[in-house]
Amino acid sequence: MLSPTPAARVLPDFANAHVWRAGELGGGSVQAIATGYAALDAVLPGGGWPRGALIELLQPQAGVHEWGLVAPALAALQARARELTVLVGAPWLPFGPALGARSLDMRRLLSIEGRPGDAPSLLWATREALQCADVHSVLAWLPDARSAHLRRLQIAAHAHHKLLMVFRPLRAQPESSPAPLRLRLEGMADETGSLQVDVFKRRGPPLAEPLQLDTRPARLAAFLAASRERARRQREEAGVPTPLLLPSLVSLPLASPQSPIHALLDRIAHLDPH
Amino acid sequence: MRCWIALHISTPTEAPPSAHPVLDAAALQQAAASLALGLTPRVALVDEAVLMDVTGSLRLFGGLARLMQLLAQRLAAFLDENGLQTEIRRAQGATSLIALGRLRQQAEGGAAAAKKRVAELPMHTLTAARPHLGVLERIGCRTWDDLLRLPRDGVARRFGAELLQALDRARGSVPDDYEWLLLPEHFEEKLELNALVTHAPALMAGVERLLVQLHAWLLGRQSGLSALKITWHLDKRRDVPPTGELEVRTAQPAQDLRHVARLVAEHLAQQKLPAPVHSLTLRSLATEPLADAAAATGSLLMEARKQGDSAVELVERLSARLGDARVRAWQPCADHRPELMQRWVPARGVMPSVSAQLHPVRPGRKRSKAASNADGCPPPEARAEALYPAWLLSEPIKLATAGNNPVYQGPLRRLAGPQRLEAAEWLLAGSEAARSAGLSEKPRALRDYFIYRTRQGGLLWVYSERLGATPEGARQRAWYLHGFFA
Repeated sequence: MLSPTPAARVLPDFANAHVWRAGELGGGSVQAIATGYAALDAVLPGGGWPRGALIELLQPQAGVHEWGLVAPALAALQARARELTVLVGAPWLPFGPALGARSLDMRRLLSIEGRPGDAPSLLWATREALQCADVHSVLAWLPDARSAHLRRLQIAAHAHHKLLMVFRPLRAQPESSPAPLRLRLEGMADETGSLQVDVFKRRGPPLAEPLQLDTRPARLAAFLAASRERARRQREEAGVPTPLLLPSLVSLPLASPQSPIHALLDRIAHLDPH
Repeated sequence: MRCWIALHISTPTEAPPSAHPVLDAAALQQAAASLALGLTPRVALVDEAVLMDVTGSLRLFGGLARLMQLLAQRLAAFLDENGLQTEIRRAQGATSLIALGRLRQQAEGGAAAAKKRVAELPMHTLTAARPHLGVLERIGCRTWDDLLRLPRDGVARRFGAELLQALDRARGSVPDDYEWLLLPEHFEEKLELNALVTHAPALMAGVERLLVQLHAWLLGRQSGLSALKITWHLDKRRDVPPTGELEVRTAQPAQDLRHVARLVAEHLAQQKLPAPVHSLTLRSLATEPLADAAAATGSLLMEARKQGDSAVELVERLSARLGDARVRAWQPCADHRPELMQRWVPARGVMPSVSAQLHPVRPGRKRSKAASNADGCPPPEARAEALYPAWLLSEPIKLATAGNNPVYQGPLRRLAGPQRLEAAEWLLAGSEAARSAGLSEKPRALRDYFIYRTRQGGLLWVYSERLGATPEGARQRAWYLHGFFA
């Protein structure tokens, strides 16, 4: 096993802080916002969502998993500074009361609507929002964005030091992307309904296996569990052996591409220490 | 003793071609005079120069040296902001004509010449002597001093009384008075374009030239612009209305017109010109005095401002290009029907309340909020609103059914429900929200809400219209998708 000590010995301390070894998790100098999920913080460089960098989130369908993953970090940002969050091209209208229950201040939210076939103006709006001094975070749904567009957004986010999250469909995974952090989100179809998060590009070695995060609000999870329990008890009392409702679909395998090739194409090859 | 400053500003002849607008000499002089009005009310335009009587302002600005420095700073800042390349000359004297004479002398002989004694100023630097220069030269009068030594009545007979009067003014023995410059109440300027313009965005070059003049006018009046109107005059030979116009408004009165220029550009990009345009008029519709205009323009604290635009500017620019309806802000409503609990309204209309959120007026606000939280309000996660979906469809989607169950991207599995929601007419009689939202025509809502799970693992918020308690009603149930949990 090659120990990292020789390099550490050669370099002075201040330079050592700026060296990132590809086998370790990078981002010591990145200013990050805690995601609100300890398991996710542990695998992200810098220990959270990086500010001033493009974060790319891929999911099978727009609008299914965003708020649970993003809301804790946004709430923390809103508590820190009285600045705006801008949503660009959100698939539907956010529902204020529900997001209020996730500690978000809806009055500090702007929504810019997209129109079908109007991708350029959404990109423009995203860049404009990034340049605004009163904005701390931008969430953009850009299904049609190309790599060159994303590069411009990455530069703008870096220059203005904003939290920028871009949501794209799963088909964008094999494309090259300038984002230093890329995640794939998939919902589990089991009873817990937890979110499966795979960090397939980051400054560091590939993730061994996807994380399972419980992103539902506690009250909703408790409500669903109670409903499930009640349904079970009703079945028992009625003496019906089979469920009344549709059979569970847990056994269906998810069609998730787990090919390691794409993960490796997008980064420096992971250095196997030997 | 009085103190005068003469100022001359010109475009250098060998200026490199630049992308920025180029003003003609008269406009530059007017702009310099407007800026000078920020330092003294006694400003006059004389020949090619701007004359300012700063006697009354010396104490306020801390002496002549400081005042000159301030003038130079403001001029430099203004020219820099508008990307103008100019030469500035300025001279100072005890009377207006001495200052002007030194200014002219400086143009010929450089900075050292301006230090000359008043008596040694050459004859041609006096405007009144210009018609008689040839004769004066031949009788040996080359400097002001030479002329003063001649007998007064003879000079008056030979050259007229004007020359003597001018000399008296220069010496300070008669009052030194001018028609002082007053800036008009409204800015209105017309510009003949160099060539006919057929494409609306190309009008921007002309608008920029007018905006530079408007900027100087605003600085002189120490006020900020909140609305302006641009009128373009179309070629009269076409069978179209003779003019077209555009009104641009901004929520925050601004002196720095870069934001206004960008707004105008966005609006012009959407205009179509029916005929070629030959001239432009720019008129200020509304201005507001800025309390700390002096601090905002000349102060070094300007640099301490945050980099980037403000939220108001962002919303105005986005609304200008995308339309008001596509840039929206959230407002809560008191109603128990989900679609009426909130409204997404055009953000441009509610910017004051959004800005108030960003920049709270009272610093004590934070403490009171913390106190109210401690009073026993439940934490947000524990509130009943946590059971609502994070996305709401503005129009519910009618779902297909398979047997007795709804279908959305495959079969669905019911997790929870029903949650009954009822809004009868007698309940809604005084509902403010329903009336203002214009939804009072369909006030009745009898729904059972369910939570369903899709095959992909997403949660849906689905309701069925309760058609009646009869079995037939239950059989022809209609299912609607109203939201997504995310």
